[in-house]
Amino acid sequence: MIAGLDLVVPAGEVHGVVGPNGAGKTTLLEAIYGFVPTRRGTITLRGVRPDARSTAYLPTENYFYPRMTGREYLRIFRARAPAFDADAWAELFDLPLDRFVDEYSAGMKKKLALIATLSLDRAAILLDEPSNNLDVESNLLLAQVVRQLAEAGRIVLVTSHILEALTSACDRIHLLRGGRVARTFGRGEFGELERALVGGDGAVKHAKVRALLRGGAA
Amino acid sequence: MLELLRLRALAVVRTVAALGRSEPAWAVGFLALLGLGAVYAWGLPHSSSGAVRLAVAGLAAPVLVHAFRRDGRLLRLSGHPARLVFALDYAVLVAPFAGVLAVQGRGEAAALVLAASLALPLMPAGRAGAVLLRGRRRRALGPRVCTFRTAGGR
Repeated sequence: MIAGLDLVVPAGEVHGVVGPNGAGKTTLLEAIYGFVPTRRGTITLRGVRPDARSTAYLPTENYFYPRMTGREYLRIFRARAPAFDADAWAELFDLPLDRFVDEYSAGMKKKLALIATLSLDRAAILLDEPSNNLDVESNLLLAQVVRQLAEAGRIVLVTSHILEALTSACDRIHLLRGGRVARTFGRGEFGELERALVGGDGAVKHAKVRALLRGGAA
Repeated sequence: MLELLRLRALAVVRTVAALGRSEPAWAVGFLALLGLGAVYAWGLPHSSSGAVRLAVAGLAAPVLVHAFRRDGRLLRLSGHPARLVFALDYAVLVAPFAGVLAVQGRGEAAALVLAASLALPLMPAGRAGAVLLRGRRRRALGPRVCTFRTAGGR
């Protein structure tokens, strides 16, 4: 549950959200997109409530129709953005569009869902754990894509549990704890973020892990 | 939206065709069952209770689909009106049942089945599927037979 969260994401910047499991990262994105209703507070995109016409959202888990090719899946989305060059994007991400999605690996499915999200060409783009299942090369590519989207004036909000995936792409990273922003880190402060995530007791946890692996108590 | 409907219809045809290729006996059996069902359904509306049974059977199909479907979010994410797509799906599903009822002089039952199927999208979709999926995930954590071999080390 999110409570007391205050977040401003300017256009042209990539903002990341990190936090422990259950901190509210996905809930935040789903509330912005409108999948989760908010009891109080306001969510605005350029002064108005964001909706499917202004916002594109890549969820952590994506649904794919069985016996549908990657190209056909993109066509479901492409109906909204006819100028989108699906082949060029597929080539960039090394994705065979004419194979059935059922035969794709988890990483290929993630790439397809990402390309579909980008094809919508929305003002704001919400990416929930886009790095999941992606190989190293695709993750580097994703960071470039995200950066260039921001440079083109898009508002980009990304969550990830892979810190490197965020630090390479984000201008700011918000640390979420207990449903609220505990601290926001600028580009020069990303080094502190890892320490903040561990919670300052990194040495204690390290000793506990060592003790557990040896079969003793911490 | 027409493109979406066309692509999904194509995917359904492929699924059925793939089933027919991989399990021809099963496919023939299914078609025979469908044919027998159609003949039986044709005679049902002669009595009032039969008409009710056919109407209930007709509604069962979209109710089951609605309870287990998981494409609601995809439809919204891709910019399609999910409820309208669902309503079209259910209209297609109940059409044969409503058709038989209407032709056999049970117009009111046909209209009722059609109206109920069109109202179905107002209820949350995929709840039953989500519950089952949660159950399956929990079961996956149970003990399993596993063989794991290492070379060297401790």
